[in-house]
Amino acid sequence: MNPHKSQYACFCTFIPPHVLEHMAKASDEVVRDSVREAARLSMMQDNQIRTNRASQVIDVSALAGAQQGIMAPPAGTAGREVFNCGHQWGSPPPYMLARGEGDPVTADDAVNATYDAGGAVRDYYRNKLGRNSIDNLGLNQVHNVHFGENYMNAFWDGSQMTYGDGDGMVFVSFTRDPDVVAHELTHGVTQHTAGLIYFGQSGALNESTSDVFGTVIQQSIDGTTADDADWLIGNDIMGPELFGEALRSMKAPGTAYDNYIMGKDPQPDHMTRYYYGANDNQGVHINSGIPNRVFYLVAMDIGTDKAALIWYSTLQRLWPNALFGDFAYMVADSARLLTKNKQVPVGTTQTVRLALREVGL
Amino acid sequence: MQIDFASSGGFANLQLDYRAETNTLPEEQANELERLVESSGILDLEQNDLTSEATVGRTDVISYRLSLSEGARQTTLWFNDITAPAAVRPLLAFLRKLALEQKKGR
Repeated sequence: MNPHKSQYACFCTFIPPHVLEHMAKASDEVVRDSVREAARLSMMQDNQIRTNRASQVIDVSALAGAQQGIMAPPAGTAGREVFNCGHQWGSPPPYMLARGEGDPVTADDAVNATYDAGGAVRDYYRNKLGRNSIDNLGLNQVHNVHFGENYMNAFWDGSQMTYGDGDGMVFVSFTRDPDVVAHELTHGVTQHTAGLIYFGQSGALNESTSDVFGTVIQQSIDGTTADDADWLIGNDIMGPELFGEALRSMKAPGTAYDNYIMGKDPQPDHMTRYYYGANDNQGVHINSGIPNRVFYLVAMDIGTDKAALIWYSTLQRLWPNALFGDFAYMVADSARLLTKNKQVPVGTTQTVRLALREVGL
Repeated sequence: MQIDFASSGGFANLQLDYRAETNTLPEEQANELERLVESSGILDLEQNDLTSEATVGRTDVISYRLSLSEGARQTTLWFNDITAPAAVRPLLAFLRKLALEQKKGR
């Protein structure tokens, strides 16, 4: 099988009416193309997905087993394949495999960093959450490093990850920060679970989920706890011109950066400061600050791993066009079910509700 | 040649924009821009030529808008990191570099 061939068609789901209204207004923005496509796909929506997911009972006993290392995940290799793009822009990429699963360390730092971070992500999902790779069926991780010249980004394309090296001044290699790798891989997990549409509130929930597991896995790698973690996203990819800045702060959304290159961090920390503009797929990287802070508050109370368990349970119960209100209900209900199953401490449901209230949800 | 460029989104959600008339740019910059425009074939592209298959469901990709005008020829196109043809990507990267340099100069 060609690992570079996309195996998953993009998901076609419903866009809520208020989103469609904003999409129409966004017609002259950079995002016009994706907006039009989203609008077209929204015509193909199926509300049954929402109904089914809302009534789904999570298997907390399976989660309990996973926590204790009892539950064996389904068979699959979940191997890592790191390809070197050689600074080419081509797509689909006919790149060279630089390091496969079990291969020795190479002379390329980006290859090794991606390989190691990919392993940490795989291990966390498997050992803490009982998930067998991105699709829970042992899908191999395909990472493409050194993409393009001075490319300042990392993305998930529906089946694999691609990372640029940055320009060395504003951003360094996007492989340098394990939370970037964990963030991108988690987009794959979201695709195979809730399938959150990358637009508006569902898109912000999609982004937040990636930030949550990005920081959870970063803390696992660093051996830190909620108390001593930095709760920053992307701080290790900042180049010399922006050293000390970060891309997002889960502890204090809106404070990650303020400089002449990036401007001021626009993330809200409360629903009263919600971003209604059309940029960034209607603020998927902006409004994610609100659920991000909910996670921070809960993790500070019950610990990062227990909070992650609640968020992972919630992710499996959400649906493609879920809104913040749906998330609020589901995350509190997941906390209740996990409390009932003695997976999280008594009082966690109330902790979650208090955190939601703090951000206006 | 008149250029009007904007990009947004991506993991860093860096918002960049750049406008220029190549006649007013330093010769080296203008030559490089014109070379990249020529090699990209962008003036012969139409929006319908670009795939839209991947515009939804892909995450952290950067979105781009690029308008070029030269004499009677004018085009405006929307891309993202997946839909942009490989030949156009060096031009998009160069425009982002110019936009960043412009920001640093402010």
